Amino acid sequence: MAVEMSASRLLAPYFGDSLFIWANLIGLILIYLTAGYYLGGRVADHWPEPRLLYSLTLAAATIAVVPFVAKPIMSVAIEGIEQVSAGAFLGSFGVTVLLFSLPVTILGMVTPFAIRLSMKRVESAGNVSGGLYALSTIGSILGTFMPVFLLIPSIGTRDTMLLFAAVLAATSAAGRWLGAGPPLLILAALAIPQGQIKPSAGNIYEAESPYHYIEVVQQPDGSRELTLNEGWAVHSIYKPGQIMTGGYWDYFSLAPWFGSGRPPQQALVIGSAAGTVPGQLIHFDPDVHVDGVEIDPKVVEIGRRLFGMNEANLTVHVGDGRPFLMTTKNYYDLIAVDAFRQPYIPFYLATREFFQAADDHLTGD
Amino acid sequence: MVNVGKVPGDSALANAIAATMRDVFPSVYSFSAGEFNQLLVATRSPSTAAAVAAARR
Repeated sequence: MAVEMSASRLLAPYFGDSLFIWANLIGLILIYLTAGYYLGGRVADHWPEPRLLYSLTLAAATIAVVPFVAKPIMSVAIEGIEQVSAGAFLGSFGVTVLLFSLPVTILGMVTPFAIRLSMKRVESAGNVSGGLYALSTIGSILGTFMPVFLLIPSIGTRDTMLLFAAVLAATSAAGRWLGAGPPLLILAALAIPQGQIKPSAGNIYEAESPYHYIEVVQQPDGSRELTLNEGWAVHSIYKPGQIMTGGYWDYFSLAPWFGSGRPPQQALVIGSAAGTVPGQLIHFDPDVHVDGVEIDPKVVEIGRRLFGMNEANLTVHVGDGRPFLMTTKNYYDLIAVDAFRQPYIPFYLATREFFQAADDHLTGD
Repeated sequence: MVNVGKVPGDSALANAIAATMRDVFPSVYSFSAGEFNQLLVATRSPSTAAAVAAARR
């Protein structure tokens, strides 16, 4: 699970983190585990040697290599398939096969091997296999929660994978197989400078958050663009000293003209990102109060720091748009939805129930 | 007002979302904002495109 969680973060800067990418990732990992379980059982029956089991855990520690080779492989893959409409799907499929097939298949071999070695009498088969499956699932639980809530936010994806690889290598060391050298070598790799997560021209800032890979690119004219994950869509744009962007954001200020024509007093922007739409609404109507809703606190921080999102009459709420709309006691005369999650708008912001909730919170025409 | 991302030349998703909005709102307008964006505007009072255009003149 730790490999799977970390893998999603490795793929996101290049292919995004849509449902399709997750399906690729989970499906392929399950295929590798299936192969590993089958092979592990057969190998263990033929050579029931503890040394071989510890060799497997050491071989699985090759996941330490993955974050170092992933960047060039994914760069080539994304260039090769960018003209294909299902490019992200195919690219993530190919990269997942290349990077994870071997270590995850080997990891799959471990549990049946451990069952074979622990089994002394057939009368205890249920007890032994149940205990090892429980232990394996506890490992999966830790591998799910630790990377997501603790390790990736604090030390990043690469070092998270290195730590888990070191744990695998340490297991081999505990089995007196090759000693402490391999885990120490992997831990030493933590000292290698990270470099850019996704090298690109004009990159002035990048970060990983629990929601996205975030990148800010500065163009030669000084304008700044916020992109997330694979970077196919610009989510916010900031042109110092200039309010019009030349992009779709500019049209949101036209919304009142479809109704009374009166400027809004209370506006809600779901998916406010780094503040392009709220900034324009406030520029054209300085008396309006805007509630912005943005799911990623890191994006809000970047908006305030690099995109001039510091208007006094803008309140940014960190959260998901639909729960906010369902629970807020506020009413608005304009609701704007500018949320995008590759490849399209999140489905739950495009249902009849969502639009009914929007209607319930609208005043005027 | 809703921004819907689209593939150039394909407004099927925006049309489907506009139809869903029409279940709730009496008037829904749709216009393209470049190759990759379609904007949908819903109003709570019934209106027509001609009336909106006339009111702005």
